Amino acid sequence: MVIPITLLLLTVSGLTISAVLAFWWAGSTGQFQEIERGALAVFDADEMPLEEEGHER
Amino acid sequence: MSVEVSPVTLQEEEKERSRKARAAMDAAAAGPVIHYFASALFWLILGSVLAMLASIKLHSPALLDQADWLTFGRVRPAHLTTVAYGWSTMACIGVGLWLMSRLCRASMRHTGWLHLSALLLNLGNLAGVIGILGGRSTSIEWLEYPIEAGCLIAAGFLPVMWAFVDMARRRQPGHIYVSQWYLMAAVFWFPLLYITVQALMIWSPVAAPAQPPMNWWYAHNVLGLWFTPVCLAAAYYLIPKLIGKPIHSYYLSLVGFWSLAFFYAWNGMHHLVGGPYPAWMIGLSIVASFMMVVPVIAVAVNHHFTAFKDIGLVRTSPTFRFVVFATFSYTAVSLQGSSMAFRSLNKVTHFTHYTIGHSHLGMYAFVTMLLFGAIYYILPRVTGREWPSAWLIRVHFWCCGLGVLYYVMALSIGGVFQGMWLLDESVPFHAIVERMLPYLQQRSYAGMAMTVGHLAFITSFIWLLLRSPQPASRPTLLARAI
Repeated sequence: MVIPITLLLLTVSGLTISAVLAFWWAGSTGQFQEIERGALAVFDADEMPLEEEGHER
Repeated sequence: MSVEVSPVTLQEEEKERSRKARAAMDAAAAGPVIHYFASALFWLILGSVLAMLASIKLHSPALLDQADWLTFGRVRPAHLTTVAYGWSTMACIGVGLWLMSRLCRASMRHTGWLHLSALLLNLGNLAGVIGILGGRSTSIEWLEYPIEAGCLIAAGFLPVMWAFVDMARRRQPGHIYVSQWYLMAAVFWFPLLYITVQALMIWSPVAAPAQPPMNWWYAHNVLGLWFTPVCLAAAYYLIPKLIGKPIHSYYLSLVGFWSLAFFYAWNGMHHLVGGPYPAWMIGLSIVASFMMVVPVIAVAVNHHFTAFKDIGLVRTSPTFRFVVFATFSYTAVSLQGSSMAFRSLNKVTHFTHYTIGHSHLGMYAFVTMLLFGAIYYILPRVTGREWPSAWLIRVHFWCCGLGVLYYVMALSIGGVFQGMWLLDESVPFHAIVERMLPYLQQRSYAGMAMTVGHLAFITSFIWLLLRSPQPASRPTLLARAI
C-alpha cells in the first residue's frame, strides 16, 4: 500500500507545486499590479462605460 | 489632403470593431459549441430516465425487475456516469470553449479536432453506458465505465486541452481575467485526475487497500477541480456582463482562485472517516476541507454582492435567474461539505441519503443550474437565434429549481433520521428501510419535476435550432423589463 499512496501524495504535491509555480509566474508578469483593474478585463470596448447602460438580457 | 476624425467617431469605430470581432469569434465557435451542447442534452435526457428508474426502484423494487440490465445496481451507476461525463462534462467543455474564446479575444481554430473530440467523448459515454448496463461496471464509484470507455474519454479530452492552450497563447495582452485562470486550471486538472486514477485503478490496478483513498480523492476532486472551476468561471463572466458592472472585489476573486488551487487537491480522504486508514491521512483531508471555507467565502461575497447590485434582473433574465440560483447553491453546498468533514457530523450522515442530497445540491443545484444559465446566454449568440418561448424557460426553471430543492430537503431530513436510527442499536435494520420509504418516494416526485424541466429545455433547444436566424432581434425575457 505504501507505493500507491506515495504515488497519490506525489500527484497531489505536484498539483500544489504547479499552482505555486503558476502563482509565481502571475506575479512576475505583472498580473497582480493594479489588481482591481483586472475586473474590467471581462468587458469589451463597446461595453464601457458600464454604470448607466441598459441590460441586454 | 488630411481628413480630420473626431474622437467620437474613433470611439464609434472602436466599438463597431469590437462588435464585429465578437460576432466573428461566435461564428467560429458555433459548430463545436452546438455539437457539445446537443450531445450534453442527449446525455441529460438519458441520465434523467436512468435516474427516475433508479429512484423508483428504491421504493418499488419490483419495477422492471425481470431485465438484468435494468436492475438498480446497473441503472444507478449508469445514471451517475452519464450525467457526470455525458451531460456535465460535455456542457462544461462547450461553455468553457466559448468563454475562453470571448475572454482571450481569440477565435477558435482547428474546429475539426473539437468535433472529433466531441465524437470521441460521445463514443466513450456510449461504450460506458452499454458496458455498465451489460454488467461490465468496474464497481468503482465515479469510475464505473469499463476500460475502453475511459480510454476514449481520456483521448477525447486532448483536443480540448490544445484548443484552450491555443486560445490562451493568442490572448490579448493585459490582465488575465479570473475566469481564464479557472478555465485554464480546470482543463489541466481534469485530465490529470482522470488519467492518474484510470492508470492506478483500472489500467493497472494497485493493491485493493490502496484503492478507496484514490477513489475518493478522485471522486471529490473531480467536483472541485473540474466542474466547480468551469462553473465559477462562467458565473464570474455572466454576472458582470448581465448587470453591466464589474465584480464586487477582483482582489477577493483571486484569493478565491489561488486558495482553491493550493488546497483543494488535498481533499477527499475525509470520505473515509472511520475507515482503516492512517489518522494523519484522514486528518489532513479534514483540515483541507475546512480550509475550503476561504475560497467559498471569497466567491460567495463576490457573487452575491455583485448580483445584489441589480438583483431585480432575476425577474426578466433567464440566464441571471439560473446563475443566481446556482451561486446561492454553491455557497450552501460548499459550507455544508466543509461541515460534513467533521467527525461528529460525519458519524451521523455517512452511509445515509444525506450524502446523496449533498451531491445533488452540488452537481445539480449548482453545476447543472449554472450550465443551464450559461447555455441560455451562449446559444443565441452563436446561432443568431433567440429562445422561442419564455413560457418554456419558466417551466424549465421552476420545475428544476423547486424540484432540486424538494429533493435535497427530503433526502437531508430523511438522511439525518436514517443516520440516527443506524446509530441506535435498538432499531432493527429492516425498520429503518421501511421508515425511509416516504422520503424515497418524495425523492422520486422531485426527480419527476426535474425531468419535466429537462424536457422543456430540450424542446426549447431543438425549437431554437430549427428557427431561421433573426439578426438583432429582441432577447426573450421572462417578464416585461421595468
